[in-house]
Amino acid sequence: MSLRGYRLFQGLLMALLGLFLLSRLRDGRILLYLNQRFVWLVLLAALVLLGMAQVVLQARPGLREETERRSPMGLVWLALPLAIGVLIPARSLTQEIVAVRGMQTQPIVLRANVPARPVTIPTTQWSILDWIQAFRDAPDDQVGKAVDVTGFVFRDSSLRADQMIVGRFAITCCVADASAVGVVVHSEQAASFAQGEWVRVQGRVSWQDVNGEAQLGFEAETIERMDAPEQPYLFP
Amino acid sequence: MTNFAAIFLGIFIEAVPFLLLGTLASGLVEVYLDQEKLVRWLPRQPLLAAVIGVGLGLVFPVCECGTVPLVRRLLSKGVPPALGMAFLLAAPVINPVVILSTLMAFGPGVVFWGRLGLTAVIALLVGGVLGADPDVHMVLRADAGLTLHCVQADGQLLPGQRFRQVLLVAADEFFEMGRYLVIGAALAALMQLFLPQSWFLAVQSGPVLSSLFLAALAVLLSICSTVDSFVALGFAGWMPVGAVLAFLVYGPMVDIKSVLMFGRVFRKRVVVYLVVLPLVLTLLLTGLINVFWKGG
Repeated sequence: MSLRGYRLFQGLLMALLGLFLLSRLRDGRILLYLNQRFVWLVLLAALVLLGMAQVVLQARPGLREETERRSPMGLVWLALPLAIGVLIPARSLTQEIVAVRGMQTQPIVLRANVPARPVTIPTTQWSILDWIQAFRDAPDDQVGKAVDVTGFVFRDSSLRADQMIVGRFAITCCVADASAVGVVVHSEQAASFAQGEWVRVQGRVSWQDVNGEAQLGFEAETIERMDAPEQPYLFP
Repeated sequence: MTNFAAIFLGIFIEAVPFLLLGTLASGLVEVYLDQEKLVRWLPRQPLLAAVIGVGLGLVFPVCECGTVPLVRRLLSKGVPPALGMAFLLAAPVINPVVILSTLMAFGPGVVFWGRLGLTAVIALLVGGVLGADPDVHMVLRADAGLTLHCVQADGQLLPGQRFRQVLLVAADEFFEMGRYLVIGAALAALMQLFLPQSWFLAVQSGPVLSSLFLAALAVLLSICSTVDSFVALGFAGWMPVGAVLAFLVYGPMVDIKSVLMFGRVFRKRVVVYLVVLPLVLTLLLTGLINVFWKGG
């Protein structure tokens, strides 16, 4: 390919990549790929790509470069993420990922320097992540507190028929590091909810017997089926 | 397919700003750095050059996606190979952004200082060994693309024209290195979908095995070094501290994306050394920490 043709496609591809990122930022779907902390970096990258595209498209090869040939393969590779991004609708990770990555139900260290949710926020507004952090920081203080969380249903062989896990994916950086976190829920209706179904659980914190071990969980008062939220991820 | 697309695009989109930063730095070096002065000022003695390379990330804050194009450009400008190789391995950790993110995640404790210290030692040793011969052709491939949009020394260019040259160089580098980012992100996404993490994390016992498995997980995940501290926090409570350090030290030096980029720029022998030497040193040093560090 002549250098002039190469520059034309190179500039167009950069512009399209920049516009793709801007469109994902505009409709909020960028948060299906990465943590909100990195949104400003993506915006910056999109603007730089557009600026570079303009310079590339305006570049006129010098006399020495007129006869230069460039392979278009490099352009094809960079067109791949663009094609995947445009052709495959942006969706959140599905249940199958939990089978590969496992479900974290024990209190884990998520960000060492981040304190538990301030007491000024009602516990009915806490997310599953907030609860897991609170279970880690002061387990006994949580028993009896009111709960209102949403998440997907997950069930494995360690749970009884009247137990299930309500879980979410937590993303620290991008979906590559997404980990499924969840809390055990006790309810007589637990068996009636399908794996992966989104539910809203209201109830209170209580100790649960999971496979012979005491573990903090939720005693459900009501469980409602619901549609998956627009933003299914939690960001530590 | 939607899971593959989400993970692949997640890695790609998150890496693009850092790849752009590296390619822009490369463009600035190409257009503005005077080759004669650079060669005159820098030490030729390998170990001394490697020491400077270890600290150079404080001036060029790029992570692993950006270091390869920048190192290629620096080597083409006459920077000693020891400096370039030490910079290649150290810069993804010893730079202001990663230092701050590690400090935020772990505080000024053993993981923070261990990460910086081990990275510096490994980069110094590997840089010193690979750069023992001052001939740049001993490390760079013959077709490493050094002529790719090289700017002729031309003092006549106006500032605006020079800046446009920077962007043209950066655009070419972005496409050349970007293909390895695409391939690496695709491989990492496929491995994440089909290799259960429990296989890696089942091995918690053994000072070396635990380090080996978290180092392997770091390669598999291919997460940018600017944010990997927060991911490593997830292991901090239940894996030995040396293993967490192996994740934080080896991952930024070698992952799927960077190995593919190494292959484009460096000789095969050098790529093997770049993968194996830091791994051996990481396992040795973090294994010792696992054995002798008793917490606190």
